[in-house]
Amino acid sequence: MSKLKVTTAAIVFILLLIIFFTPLLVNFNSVIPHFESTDEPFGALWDFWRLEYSLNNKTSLLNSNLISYPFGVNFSENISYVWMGINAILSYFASPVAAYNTQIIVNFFLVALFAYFLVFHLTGSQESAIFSGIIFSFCPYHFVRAWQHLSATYIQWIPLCLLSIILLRKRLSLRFSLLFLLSVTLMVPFDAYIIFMTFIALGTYLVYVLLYGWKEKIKIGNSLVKIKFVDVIKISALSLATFVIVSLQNFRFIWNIFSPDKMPASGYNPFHRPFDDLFVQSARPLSYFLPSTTHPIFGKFTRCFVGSNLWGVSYTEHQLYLGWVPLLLAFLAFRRWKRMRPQVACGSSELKRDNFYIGFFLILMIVAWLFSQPPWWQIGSFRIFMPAFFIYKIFPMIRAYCRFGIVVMLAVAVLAGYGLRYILEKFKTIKSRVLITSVVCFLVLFEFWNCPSDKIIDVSKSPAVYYWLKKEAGEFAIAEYPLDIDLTNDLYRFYQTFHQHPIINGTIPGTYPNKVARSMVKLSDRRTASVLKWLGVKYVLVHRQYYLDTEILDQVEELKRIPKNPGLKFIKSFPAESCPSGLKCIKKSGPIDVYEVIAKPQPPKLK
Amino acid sequence: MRWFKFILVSLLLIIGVLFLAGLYLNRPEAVLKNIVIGDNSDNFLFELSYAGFIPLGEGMFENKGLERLKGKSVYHLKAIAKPTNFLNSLYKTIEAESQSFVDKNRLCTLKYIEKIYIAGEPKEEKTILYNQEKNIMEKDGEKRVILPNTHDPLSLLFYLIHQDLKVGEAIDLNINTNQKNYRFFGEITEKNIVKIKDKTFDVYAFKGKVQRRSETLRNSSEFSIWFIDSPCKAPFLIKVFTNTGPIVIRLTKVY
Repeated sequence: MSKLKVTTAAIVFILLLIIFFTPLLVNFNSVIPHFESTDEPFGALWDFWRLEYSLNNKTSLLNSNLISYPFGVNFSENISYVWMGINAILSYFASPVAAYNTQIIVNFFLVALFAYFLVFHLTGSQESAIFSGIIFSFCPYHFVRAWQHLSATYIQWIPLCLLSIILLRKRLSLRFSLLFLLSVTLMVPFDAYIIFMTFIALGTYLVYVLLYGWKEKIKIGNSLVKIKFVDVIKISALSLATFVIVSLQNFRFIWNIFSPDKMPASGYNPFHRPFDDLFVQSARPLSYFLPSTTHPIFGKFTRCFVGSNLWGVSYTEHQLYLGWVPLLLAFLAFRRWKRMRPQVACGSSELKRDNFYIGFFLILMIVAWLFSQPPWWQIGSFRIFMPAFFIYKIFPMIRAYCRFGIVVMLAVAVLAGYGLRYILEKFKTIKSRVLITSVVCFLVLFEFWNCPSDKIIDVSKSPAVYYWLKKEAGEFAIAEYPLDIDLTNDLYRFYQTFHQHPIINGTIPGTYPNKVARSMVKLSDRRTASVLKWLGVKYVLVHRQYYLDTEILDQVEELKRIPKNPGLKFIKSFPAESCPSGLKCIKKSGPIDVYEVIAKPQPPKLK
Repeated sequence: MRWFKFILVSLLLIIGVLFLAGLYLNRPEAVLKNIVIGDNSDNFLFELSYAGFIPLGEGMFENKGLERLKGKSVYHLKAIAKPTNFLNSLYKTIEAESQSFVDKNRLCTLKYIEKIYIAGEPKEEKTILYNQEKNIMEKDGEKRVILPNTHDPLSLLFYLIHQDLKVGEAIDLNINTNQKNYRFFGEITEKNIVKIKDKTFDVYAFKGKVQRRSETLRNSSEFSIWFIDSPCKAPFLIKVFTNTGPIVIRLTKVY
């Protein structure tokens, strides 16, 4: 692999990044990637701001009472110190928004680059490698993660780990051992699902190596089997040792996994998810085959199936579209593999290599697809159990098995690279090869297109009420109503980055602060005002539209009763705000009423 | 491998032919030829199919006449849907029944009952009460705000078939049977005159959409309904694209 080839590939990927992310790059410090279902990134931005705030004010990075005030939250239970360190440094020296966007852009580039390295090593074809890099990095799954789950954009470690284990098996040298160790080290800090998926992929590879050519191995005799077995044991031991060493940073999280359950299974318990969630967040038959809902032409057709068992319910988790062009090329690779298999025994080394790796990625595609399925298939009175059912008994914290769709995508991308190579073999001139490659790349990008200008949100300005709050003198806390007692309202947290006062919101279900919050749900209650005063709240912000949007009569009536609470004094009302035309923004809000808490403080009475 | 390819290609061809046949047989003109129109025009029998050629089952819509509900005169409507015997044999016998009590004057719903019977399982039933004066609906003790003149699916159909339809006329109605308020809206796009057994009838095409009132991508469906003036507007063909795919509902009898 020459430097020129790598540079050419890097330039192609950077150009594509510019095409897809120009609106982001042009407003790097004021917008983030966004689509219709985005909410969690606001929590991530808040977290980056919290780190910056803690560094500036020399307070703890692991505990904070900025939210769930005055009780605070302990972040050390479920944290990656390495990633926290990266976020803290980026936020401190740049800004939270720049820290967020930097990771998105860098990840997209590295995903394409590492997939390129993997496929180039396997196929020896520059065109195939670039093509596969484009498929894997610019697929709808990756974009949706950029719009909703930052940690899940770190998928570059999957092809890197696979490449390093392939190299390690080729030659068990110090250099490749260090590369493997580095790959696993880099993979661990970011996302539990990526760790899990990578280990399944690596495990599949090891089992495949053991079983590959088992007939010939038996014929040749025990010695060859023993040699291969010893290699596999060495690699497995190295993987385990590496994982244990780098996982020490997640010691608290792992300890909590094996501790007795403190909270019942719920969507808010990161150690024990409800079993039913596995059915909701598993892949559906059409999830892989229908274009993304964000496609400007075909998205409308796919949206007709959202909410059904055919596609799935989540605009985020079920965006698993593989692309018909990659699938077609992968099918071509499969057909070629089927034809070459009888000739492998007396074929060239290249033939044997292709046979081995195409076989592996076909198996990986099937294994990943099986892992992405619900715990069982119910066919009449028959129940066919899938891997998710068994793994839940050991790791009940894993619920979104549909995320294995990205491993399916990687396998399809590699196989599509092989398919393209077989097509390009028929074209001898560089011009024709570049033309064919350009055409297929264009077709894939068309399939994966998502209107970039529409996929950003301006986070630089908040509703006016928060600027007013910032100017208010004194140290006090805020309460935002309706209270987020079941699911953290990430926007409430993000708005804090503008007014910078502690908020009582953001309590975690099952904890004492959440019980206190639940006792204060009705703001019209006299006692609620007293407890708010006891907590140190000076101002209460009432988001009127949130009450009205529930369409529940009790909530609508509650809104009318709030002004009658003698423990609250109406201060002012901020009217609804909208965004400048053509751009989404967090400034958009319904009318917000501000009340001052004037009741006498009283502690909560909990049942 | 060859036999596998042969079977696959044959299956695809058969599905293709059936799909095209479904398209042909589910044209308004083709459906009209097979309708039996009786004198009493408020009761309908339907056939349901998936993509126009896979039979799903049959349905019945009846106007059981005027009754009293909380001192008001109401029309009592009833609808029943049953899957085909083949589908029942695949899973369990299922039957769905809906009843609607419709204000005689405003033709909007006052009470909606939905029952689902699955063999071997407890009956699922929900009852929703509508207070159209206060714009409130109540289900299982929870009260929700509804929009003026809210309908359930049966009362909505009943309302449509008793309207004077004109080409270009826009229809915009409110519907709620569960939690959220939905908008049912569309337009009469064309009118034709057809002859069935020495009688002429007006036929109207209505194209529209159902979607949530709140700003959301979720839960919207497009549909087309064809009405025949027989003398009330019997819906003889309904095509709706749901989140499980295209459903076609054909009228087989008006009685």
